[in-house]
Amino acid sequence: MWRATVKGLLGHKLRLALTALAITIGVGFVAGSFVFTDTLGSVFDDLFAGTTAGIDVTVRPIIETEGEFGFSLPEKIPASVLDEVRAVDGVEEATGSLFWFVQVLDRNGEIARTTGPPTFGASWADTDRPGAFSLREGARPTEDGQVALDRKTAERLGYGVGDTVRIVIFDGPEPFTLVGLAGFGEADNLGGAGFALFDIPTAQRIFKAGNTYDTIEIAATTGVAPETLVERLRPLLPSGVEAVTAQSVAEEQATAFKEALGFFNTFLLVFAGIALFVGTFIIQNTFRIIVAQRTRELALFRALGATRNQVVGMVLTEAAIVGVIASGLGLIFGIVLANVLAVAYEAFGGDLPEAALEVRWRTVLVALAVGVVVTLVSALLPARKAASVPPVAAMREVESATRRSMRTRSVAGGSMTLFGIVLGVIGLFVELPFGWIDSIALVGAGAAIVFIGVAVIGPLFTRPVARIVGAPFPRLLALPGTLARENSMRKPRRTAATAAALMIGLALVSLATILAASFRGTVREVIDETFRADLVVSEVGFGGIGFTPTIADEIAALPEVEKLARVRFGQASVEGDPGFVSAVQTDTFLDLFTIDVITGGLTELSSPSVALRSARAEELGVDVGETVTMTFARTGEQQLPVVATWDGQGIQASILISLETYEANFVEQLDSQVLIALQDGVSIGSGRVAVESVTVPYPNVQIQDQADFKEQTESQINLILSLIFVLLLLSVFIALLGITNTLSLSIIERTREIGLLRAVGMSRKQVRRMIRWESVIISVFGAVLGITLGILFGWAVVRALSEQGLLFVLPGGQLIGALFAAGVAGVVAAVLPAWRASRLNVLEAIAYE
Amino acid sequence: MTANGVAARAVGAVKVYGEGDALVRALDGIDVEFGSQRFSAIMGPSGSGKSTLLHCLAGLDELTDGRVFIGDTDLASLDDDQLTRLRRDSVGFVFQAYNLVPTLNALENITLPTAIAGRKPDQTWVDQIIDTMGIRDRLHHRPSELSGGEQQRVAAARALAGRPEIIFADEPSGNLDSNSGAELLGFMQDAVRRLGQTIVMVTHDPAAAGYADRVVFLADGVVVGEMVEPTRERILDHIKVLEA
Repeated sequence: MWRATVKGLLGHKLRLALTALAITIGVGFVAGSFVFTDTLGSVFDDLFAGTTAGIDVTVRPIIETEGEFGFSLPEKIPASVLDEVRAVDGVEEATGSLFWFVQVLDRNGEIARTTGPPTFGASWADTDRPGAFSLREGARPTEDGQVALDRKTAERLGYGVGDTVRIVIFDGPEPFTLVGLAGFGEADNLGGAGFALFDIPTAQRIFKAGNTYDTIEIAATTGVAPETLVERLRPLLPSGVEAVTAQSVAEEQATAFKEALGFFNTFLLVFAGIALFVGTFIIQNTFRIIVAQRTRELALFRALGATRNQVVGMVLTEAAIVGVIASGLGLIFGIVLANVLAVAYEAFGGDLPEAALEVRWRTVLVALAVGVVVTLVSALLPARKAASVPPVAAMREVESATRRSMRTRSVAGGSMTLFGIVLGVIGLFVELPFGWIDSIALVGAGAAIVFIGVAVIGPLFTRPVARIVGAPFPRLLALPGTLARENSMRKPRRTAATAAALMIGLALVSLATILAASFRGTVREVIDETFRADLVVSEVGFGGIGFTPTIADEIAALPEVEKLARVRFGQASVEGDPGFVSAVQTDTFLDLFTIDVITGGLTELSSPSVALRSARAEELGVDVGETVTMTFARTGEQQLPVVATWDGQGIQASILISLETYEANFVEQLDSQVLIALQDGVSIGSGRVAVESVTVPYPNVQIQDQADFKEQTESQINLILSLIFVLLLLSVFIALLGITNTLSLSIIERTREIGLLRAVGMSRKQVRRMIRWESVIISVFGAVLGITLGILFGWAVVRALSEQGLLFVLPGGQLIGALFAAGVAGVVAAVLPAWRASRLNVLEAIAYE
Repeated sequence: MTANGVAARAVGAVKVYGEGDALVRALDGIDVEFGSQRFSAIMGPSGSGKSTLLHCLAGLDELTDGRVFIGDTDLASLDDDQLTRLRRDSVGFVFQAYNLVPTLNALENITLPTAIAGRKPDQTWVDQIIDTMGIRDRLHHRPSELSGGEQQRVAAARALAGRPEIIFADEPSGNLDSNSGAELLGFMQDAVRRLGQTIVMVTHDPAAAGYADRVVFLADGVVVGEMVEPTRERILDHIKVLEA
């Protein structure tokens, strides 16, 4: 049987090649995700291990709240602690270090980077000990006015040693002389984030740290274990400061980073999974067609004494061989893909040291297993069908047209669809005890089952849809149009299975489009309703630094400005649960921004108190008049009364406090937004010019009006949407391969018919037209199913999120565009099969047997 | 249409397949003419080159040497598009089997060449053919619902519908039982005698050839004889002579 299997495979080289391609792409995506994240993971293991080079123990403030990006850093460590630490037995050397965000200006005086990783500012101790930073060129900064940059940032901005670089910290740009270029361990920057290094006194000055430090790095005397030193230091340290071994700091950082990396990997794998899922449809369809075409051959095997199991074995062996070869190629493709990702990572500013991509055995095994299993599972049904071919079929002239009842099919498919919908609805609308990740998994599983269910009942729709889509064909395209339509209806199951693959991609594309449109529409609505300021001054790019309050002071003094409201931002825990806090200027904020006060009043916020989003208050079970325990990084636990509950969009935080409360409890006093109302009669344009006169020296701030605001959020949504589109494109591409494959196989079946048409005078062009429009019907069919499902999914998701104020928006134009694009894609998918069909040798096509 | 002229002719037609030892001269210098409004048959044993000659005359295959003409048109001078148009407008075909497009009904199959050309069929003429072939009550059936004989009659009707200069039939009754075969050949004979059509038919069946006005005998790629007003018996006698 082995020989026969291999011969069979070789006999269908081309048909199987296209099938294999579907696996190769899916497996490649899986392997690529693993290789890239593994590589990045071990690079960062090294990198974080490198931060501890020469350091044994770190003294740092205890971080009460989990700062995600380091907002609201805790109180700093006084210099006196450093002196005490230095006196401890076993401390060889101790240096203080400081750290904050900075923004480096390019040669045009603009903020060098507004998206992506931030740039860190840090102190670089003047010591010969090895440290996290390594000098690549020039010298270390040793006095005020000097800076060293990471080599990547310097290269990107075209700065060389000796140039003047302007850097924004708190008070607007300040010029520094670039004295050196540095690396971070082996790498030229820290995972894409740049850094600017200063000597310690300069860092203290520009970070407004006084004579304090953020951390103290300690090298132990030889022979003293870090743990011992930690024990010795503990009694000396003031409250709120701890000593930990450098190793555990590195591990903490690496763990946090790997969690993020793991999330990224999962994100990529989800799309790989979608691609493979689409692939299964294509593989199954291909094997089904091949089995049908080989009916007589298989029957001959049966007639010669092969058992059913041997026939099943033959088909599955064929599938396994295809699976192994395709997965192997997929692995190679994955490594190529990982390279592409690495290049993209570097293009976005990251730096991978000269390390080979990490291909672990796990990756190889997972890739092969996924590919082979997917192929085998897909081939299972066709194999069983092959086994059911009766030996007598070998004698039959034509393949018997078995018209199985559609009833079983519609019951099976219908109940599957229903089951999938139930799963999805539970995932979306029922609060599950196991958390939101499981809800998403449930929704995903529900969607997958709905896809399969609809694919199963798909053949029921083939004829009606093909008839409608193809209705104008006979008139517009004459005979080739009629034949295209008839051909697409000929094997409803084949057409439906082929279309189903495209359906999945288009359903997800429409879902993403609808969600994006709904978010966009909601944001517009929210901005219209809440945004009552004429202008808003906010930070450019990466948030979290804030800008100096003097900007608002100067704006307030402008004659064009009627009033303004400052907004600050921070992190704090409420009842031990970390979250974001917005601080507002209570006297003016409500005039410039709309929120719905549900109970209590915001005017009382000026005394130490909080106002909670009503949903948050409900969660916490507190009412106006009761108190909550807030934990601030600087002042620790504070009992604050709740003076109001509110609702409203446009504020990310769920806790509002007054500026006064903020000033009392937070370290840094920087504005994150300034809402401005202009005097009556001052146009937005001239108001902007006036405000600009204040902000010109501060390239780190921008002025926006309502329209700018909308545009900004929209461009963010569009960016995410296009990323998702790119990832879904792969699934759509695989689906198109499926169309190409099905058409090629159908053409082989119809060789004689096409030969006849050519013999009686159909031109090559007409043959191509016939194939092309059949393809268009298949792809439009898939698109119609997909877009319909996408709209239903989108509507359900928006409904589920309606509590968060999301409004359903149907982007009709874009969806029609998607339908049209699917038609065009159908034309593209048909190019090769149509060309082959038109080149058929007429004489061979009509020759008997 | 050239009345009583020459509908198709081959001049020094040579067709060679393969190379070296495997070289086969399927046509080895054939000169032959087929008259308009005549029912001609080409006979010969397997491998005599009769099908090759038909394919070359019909523009489905190319000669290695020599020339073939449909009417006054030298086929060698045509490119693929022109040949396609010639097949569509000037030539009709009836093959041994698989003559019909399964997705079209009988009537649509009959008018297929005119539909391909984007023209309206000549309704009176088509009606006349449908009646000649006796398939009026089967027009709206698909090929899978027709018997073998009916399918071949529909095929013959299709070949006639465009009023081509010449119809080539390759063993049209080869797959039929003798009654259906006789019926079909009778209809084809009618088409020539009553409707003035031109048919060239390849067959190895003397009974089939007996319906023709003239038989050309081929063997080993050359014309070895011909017979006017043949009957089955005369043909059988002639074959015996040839084989002797």
